[in-house]
Amino acid sequence: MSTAAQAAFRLRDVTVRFADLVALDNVSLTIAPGERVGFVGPSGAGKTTLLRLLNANQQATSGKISLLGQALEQLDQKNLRQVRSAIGFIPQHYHLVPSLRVLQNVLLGRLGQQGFWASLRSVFFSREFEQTKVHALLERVGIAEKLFAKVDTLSGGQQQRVAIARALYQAPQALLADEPVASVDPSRAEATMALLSTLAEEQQLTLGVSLHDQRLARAFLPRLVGVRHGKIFKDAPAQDWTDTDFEELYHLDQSDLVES
Amino acid sequence: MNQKEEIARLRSTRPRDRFVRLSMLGFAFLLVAVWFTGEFEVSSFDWDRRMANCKRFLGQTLPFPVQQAVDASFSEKLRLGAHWFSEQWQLHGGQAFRYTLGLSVVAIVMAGMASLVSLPMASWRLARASPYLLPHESVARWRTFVWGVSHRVFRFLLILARSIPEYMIAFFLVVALGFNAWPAVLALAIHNTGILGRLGSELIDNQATSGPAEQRSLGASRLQIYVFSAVPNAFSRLLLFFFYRWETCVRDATVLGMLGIPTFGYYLLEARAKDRLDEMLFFVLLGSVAVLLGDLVSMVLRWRLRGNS
Amino acid sequence: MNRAAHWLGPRRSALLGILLAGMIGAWLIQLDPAQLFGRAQWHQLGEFFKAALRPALAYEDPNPASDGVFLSEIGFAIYKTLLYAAAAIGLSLIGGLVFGLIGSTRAWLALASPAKPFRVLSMSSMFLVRLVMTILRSVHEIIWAILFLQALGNLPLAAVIAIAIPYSATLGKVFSELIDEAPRATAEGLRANGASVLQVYVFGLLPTMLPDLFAYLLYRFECGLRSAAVLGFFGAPTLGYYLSLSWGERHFHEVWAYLYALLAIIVVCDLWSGAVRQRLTTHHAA
Repeated sequence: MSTAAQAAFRLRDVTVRFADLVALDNVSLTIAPGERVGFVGPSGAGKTTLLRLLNANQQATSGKISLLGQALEQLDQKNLRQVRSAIGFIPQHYHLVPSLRVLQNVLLGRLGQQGFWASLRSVFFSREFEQTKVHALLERVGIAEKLFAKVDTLSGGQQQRVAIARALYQAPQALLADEPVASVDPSRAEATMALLSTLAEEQQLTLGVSLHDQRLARAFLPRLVGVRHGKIFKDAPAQDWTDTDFEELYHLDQSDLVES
Repeated sequence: MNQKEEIARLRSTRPRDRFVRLSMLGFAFLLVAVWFTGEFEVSSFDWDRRMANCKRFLGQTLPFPVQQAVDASFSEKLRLGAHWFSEQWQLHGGQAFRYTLGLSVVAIVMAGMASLVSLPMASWRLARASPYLLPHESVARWRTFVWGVSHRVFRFLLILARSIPEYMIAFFLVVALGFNAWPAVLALAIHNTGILGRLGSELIDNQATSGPAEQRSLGASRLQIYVFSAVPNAFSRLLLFFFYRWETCVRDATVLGMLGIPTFGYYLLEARAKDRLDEMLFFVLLGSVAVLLGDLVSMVLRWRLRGNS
Repeated sequence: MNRAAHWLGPRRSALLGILLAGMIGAWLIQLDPAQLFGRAQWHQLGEFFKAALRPALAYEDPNPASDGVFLSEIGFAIYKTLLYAAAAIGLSLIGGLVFGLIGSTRAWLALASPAKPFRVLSMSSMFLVRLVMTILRSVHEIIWAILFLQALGNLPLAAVIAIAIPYSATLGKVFSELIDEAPRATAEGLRANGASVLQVYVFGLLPTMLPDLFAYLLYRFECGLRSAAVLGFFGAPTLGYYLSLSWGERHFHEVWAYLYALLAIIVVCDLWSGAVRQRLTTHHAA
């Protein structure tokens, strides 16, 4: 019990099965508060499923999960909302509301902490202190000028920053990002990773990022977890990962070819 | 500059569409304001009498033989009701049913043909001096002018055709044509030509221009482009609109009978005049069944159409 | 045989089928072209159309007491028509939003709790609402009006409700389709932040639907104007009422005045909704 309370995320013998496909097979993993972890591995290995588990957005077929020190199976609907709301999640395709303004999209981050009427007031009739807070966050991610812009007029990179600001506005204890550099051009990728890791460091957030790029992974994330065929392939500090490890992780074998 | 001023500056320069915003606010205001005009107030004194009236109404909508047989068992009532239904069907129901459906089909087929003929004039890509203009092609000023004017006049005629309610068109036409199917057929056909013409021309105007421009450079005429490129490309969508409008045609055909044409509406008013509320409800329900049948047929056809295209 | 089938193809056979259906329909209603030409009394309408160029500006029966009243009466009839249409659209907006939410597959299956009894409940309520919508829509607003007049007596609200019933069902159908087609990802993203079902609907779905919803609502308002005007033939104090009175007295110049008034408000509404739609779509493309 005491170890669960210490860990930010803790999975024990977790299996996730979709119909006849095993997405995660008996995975155990512990991440301490403030740790910055990268999940690496080929597409379809189970990285996204793993991240969704950590955000309580995916039910496990079997196994025990505790998030932010709370055992998932003991949570009722209300506490579940609270836990989700304390974990900032940045989806690969950002999932913003296109017809709303940047300000409103960021304010949506607090939905899980507000009742319906309070959220209605906050999103459509934002007060000065809320605008100031959002403006500061946008300044931090570098798009303060876009405070009142409509989201569907922004570029992909700018939308990503809105999604990051929205996650930060949740005042989270942990930040999870699903493939943040997969749909961003290479020059931006480095900036995005730098932003995520400095943000996590400054605010002492637990950070979980899934990505393909081994150079970026090693440069910005102290601990790397390799996932392959739904199992943990290697879990070690970044400096202990060799080039051979990566080659083996991404090596296609017969079964991969047949599957695709 | 401090943060507060910066936010105020960003706020005042935020992009917004005044027209759409004002439209929405104005419309919302209209929707709320009508309830404060006093037009729709109901006094409670009235209400008791109205409720009594409503009760009487509901009591009389049961089939007459069932109303009479107060002491009969439920199964006996059911038998009486079923017998009454088949009698009504044979008397006028079946005929009204066939007439309504037939009328709607004729009207929509006429509207479909008329709109096909009108599309070359309704589409702004086709109805101009040189459709899908080629580079280096020059067009005489007066031709551009004549085409521009006639296209606009034609568009306006289509707006007129769809703006007048079909019930009013039929109302006027009855004077000239008498109490037969024509006023209803023509009214529905005119109104729907206006709508199909608009929908169809929007389809053609939104098509990619590269294909027609290519054919134009090969020497195809306006009509050739229309018949061999624009219509085939838009065909399945045109059919979707056609069937969608047919559904509404069936619905409208049920009431056009109120002008003296033997669809459901005619018998419905007749039953009301005789104060036979059971027969009135019979025609309401039968009309509803006809509309549902039309919906169903159209749904199956549209579904097959989507599957094939 | 093969060549015939080849020549026919899907498009030509569809056209032929439609023409054939038209002919069967014409036979069913005994459509006789002779009625259109030979026996028709077009000259009866000639007088009416001649009046088109000179719509009345005052009552055709000169009555010293009613000088200048006619124009204000037209204004009054327009006002009432707008009033009835707006009231009906307001009611059907509320009804349509409720119908649309319950009738959409998406809102219920994706967002509701995955517990099985709840799923069965939501599925069955969805089918029930869709059935009710179809039935309500299948009865024309004029027929609803006649039923209400019969049951409740002459009551302004009855005409409004008569329009609102089928319109709610139509709006509900369109709304549920909009909800089903709205991007799923946005809703799921909000869900991951811990938003409740209601919050997802209001913040995730409604704003994305709003442009389409508003454009469609304006179109329905235009239809509502037509319906309200026609209900005048059945006693509502809208343009149709005055038009039918003047028609009965064969005051064709007055009829045209009312007709032009009706056309004016409908064309203005048509142009307005067209302009709004154009703004909204170009904005989306940008």
